[in-house]
Amino acid sequence: MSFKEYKTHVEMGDTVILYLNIKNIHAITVTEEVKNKKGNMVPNIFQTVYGALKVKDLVGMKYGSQVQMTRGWAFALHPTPELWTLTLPHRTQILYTPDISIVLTQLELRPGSVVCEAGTGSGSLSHAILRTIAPTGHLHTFDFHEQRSRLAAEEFSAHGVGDYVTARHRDVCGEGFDLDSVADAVFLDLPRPYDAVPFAKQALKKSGGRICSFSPCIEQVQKTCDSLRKHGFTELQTLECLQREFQVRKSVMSVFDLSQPPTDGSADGDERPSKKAAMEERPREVLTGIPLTTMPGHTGFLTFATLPPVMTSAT
Amino acid sequence: MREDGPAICDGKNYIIIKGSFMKLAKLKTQKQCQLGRASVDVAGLLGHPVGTQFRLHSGGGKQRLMRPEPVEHTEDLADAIAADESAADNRNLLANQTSQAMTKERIMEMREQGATGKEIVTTIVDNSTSFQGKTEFSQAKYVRKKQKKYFEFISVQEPTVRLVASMYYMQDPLKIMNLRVDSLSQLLTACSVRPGGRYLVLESGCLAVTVAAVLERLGGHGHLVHLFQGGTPQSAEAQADETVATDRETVAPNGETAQTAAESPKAAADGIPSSGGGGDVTTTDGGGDVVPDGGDDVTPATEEPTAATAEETEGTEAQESRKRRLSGSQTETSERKSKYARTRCEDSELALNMLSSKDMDGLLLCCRQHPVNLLRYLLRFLAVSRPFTVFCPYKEPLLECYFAMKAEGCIMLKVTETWLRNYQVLPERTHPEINMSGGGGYILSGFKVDRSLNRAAVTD
Repeated sequence: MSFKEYKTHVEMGDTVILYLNIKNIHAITVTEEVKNKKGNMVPNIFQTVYGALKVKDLVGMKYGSQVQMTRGWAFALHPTPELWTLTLPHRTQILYTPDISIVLTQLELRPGSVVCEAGTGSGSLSHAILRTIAPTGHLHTFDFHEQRSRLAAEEFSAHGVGDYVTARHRDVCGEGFDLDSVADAVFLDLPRPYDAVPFAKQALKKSGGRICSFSPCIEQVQKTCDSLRKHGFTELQTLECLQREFQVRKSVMSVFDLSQPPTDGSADGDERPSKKAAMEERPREVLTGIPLTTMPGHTGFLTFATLPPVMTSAT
Repeated sequence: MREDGPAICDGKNYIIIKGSFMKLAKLKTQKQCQLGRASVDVAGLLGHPVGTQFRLHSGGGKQRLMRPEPVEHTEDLADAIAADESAADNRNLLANQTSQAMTKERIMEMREQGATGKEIVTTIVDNSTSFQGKTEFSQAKYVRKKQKKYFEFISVQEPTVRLVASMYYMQDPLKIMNLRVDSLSQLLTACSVRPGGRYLVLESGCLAVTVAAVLERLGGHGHLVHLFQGGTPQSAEAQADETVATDRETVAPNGETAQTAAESPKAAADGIPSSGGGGDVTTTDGGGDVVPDGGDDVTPATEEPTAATAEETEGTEAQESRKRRLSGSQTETSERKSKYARTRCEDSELALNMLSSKDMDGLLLCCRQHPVNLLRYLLRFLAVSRPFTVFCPYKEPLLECYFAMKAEGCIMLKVTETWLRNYQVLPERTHPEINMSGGGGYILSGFKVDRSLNRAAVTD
């Protein structure tokens, strides 16, 4: 229930983000027992690199505090959509926070917005949308995969945001959204987004709205832009956004001054060349941020467009 | 967000988009709206749904007052003007100055006679001897280039954060500290801004874009304490606030927004409002780095923002929401107009009370000053397990902040920048745009945690 609003202490049923280190973050649901592989209920014990955690012991703890485990400790963090994106169970490829951030801003989402999303996938973007449009908005999310749609719906209600979302099993490309003039924004992450454009137009309010299509391949973008133009969308913008992370380092570099003669070597009449070829000064400390050696180089192209308001015959 | 959509009203701020040009303008019946050299008759815009596209008809005459007519579709002249002939490649194309028979004087003459953009561009194309020798794609490019100059479509949009931030960035990135709209988006998610939350925002030098952005995301639910340097927020800041946040109709009841001046952070921290709670404010040392007031040169059309927008606030939402924002004059205006209005002094007190509980849901710094001391100090007002984020146009100060926050025991520290590339998408001519922004600023983000080991959770 912990996604709906911030709270101070962990309660039964909450999703807690267990932070061990930057590469080891997990989302766990606080229950007394879990089903094991054989289908029997067993005490909920979560195994980590720092040892085991009796999950029910988290109850009553303050969010943000340290959790002692057998071989170390972790932090119990309050979930946010961004932390969820880092830890959620992947059922599909997901959108990550750099792209999600742009989608939220470019679709002009805010409390009260009504949004259509296809497909639901693993619900990474959905959680961010829900956080942004609650408590007065609504998300209609669709997936053509029955199980994915059901699991997402279960997650939404387990996370306490079920009231703000309708998750449906439906093939939007073939059948449309089954919604007429209700949405402020439409988000498409589909293999053939261009087929869904006319349905998106129908789902958007008569007063107009924004649309976004996420596609990994440029061929899809090409066809989607053609389709958007054909259906009267304006302000087309296709972009790509990558996040560059810097490793922050304090590094020490030795400093040489070649213009000065060596300090030793020649003085004692030794014929061998000096080990110190040049004047060495005190090493200098450098504070720097270096880019990661590898980074995600492509996620997808984001295409945004505006649907202008429908002209009424009166004007 | 009514079903039929809001109409363009007299006296409100809108973003006018003309091709790649954007402008924030307050539309008034009696006035004209200046768009470059042309001026548009505002009366023709009012009453149509927000977002409507208009074709501008030249009224002729010296004033060149353009008459707007709502249209369903804008026209791309590259589609409309198609030559019968085109070349396979450019092997026969010669570079000289004789290929265009039209003179500047004749074009000006046509404009004064009220010719449409299409007529002018068609004439230019017809008078080009080299046009037929260009390839089909090159012809389209030529027409689009000409069309840009004689573009006659505009649209009138709600001043959302997306548009306002893009507009400022387009006008001059340095005016908003190189805060590109994608960086702004990252700030909002890094801080996990959600309705109902309580956010502490220190902003100076960004024309209040970040403040407006957080307010937009709060949508009237929740609280924002805005710390700023100096006695009053800049008028441009206040204006951006007003423009983006209050001109919307989505502000729901029970929302409150409190702002306070940083009474030299010391006073704020001890919960002691300095002399009368905000009347005079100590500026931080070596501050003085005040951004030029963008109000006039950015948005000439929106003079006297305070009175009119304050009125709007009172009229539509303030009675329920008691939403208040300030700047000396605004507060005065509000005092006169509404018994519900809080004074600046009350505002400061409310903000200080909120801070004294030290459990803000997010901390966002975006300032011209070096952030390290400010961040170290303000971190105490943040609740545990909550995110903070700092924007800076330079990377180095954030590296210092990184170590400072590491020393404070914060986790998930990250220094990042985002890289944004726009694409031209046209049939068989899709490629990244020739120019791109080289950088949109740097962001440090992290979480505050409690490192006093919790005894209750010892496992077997």
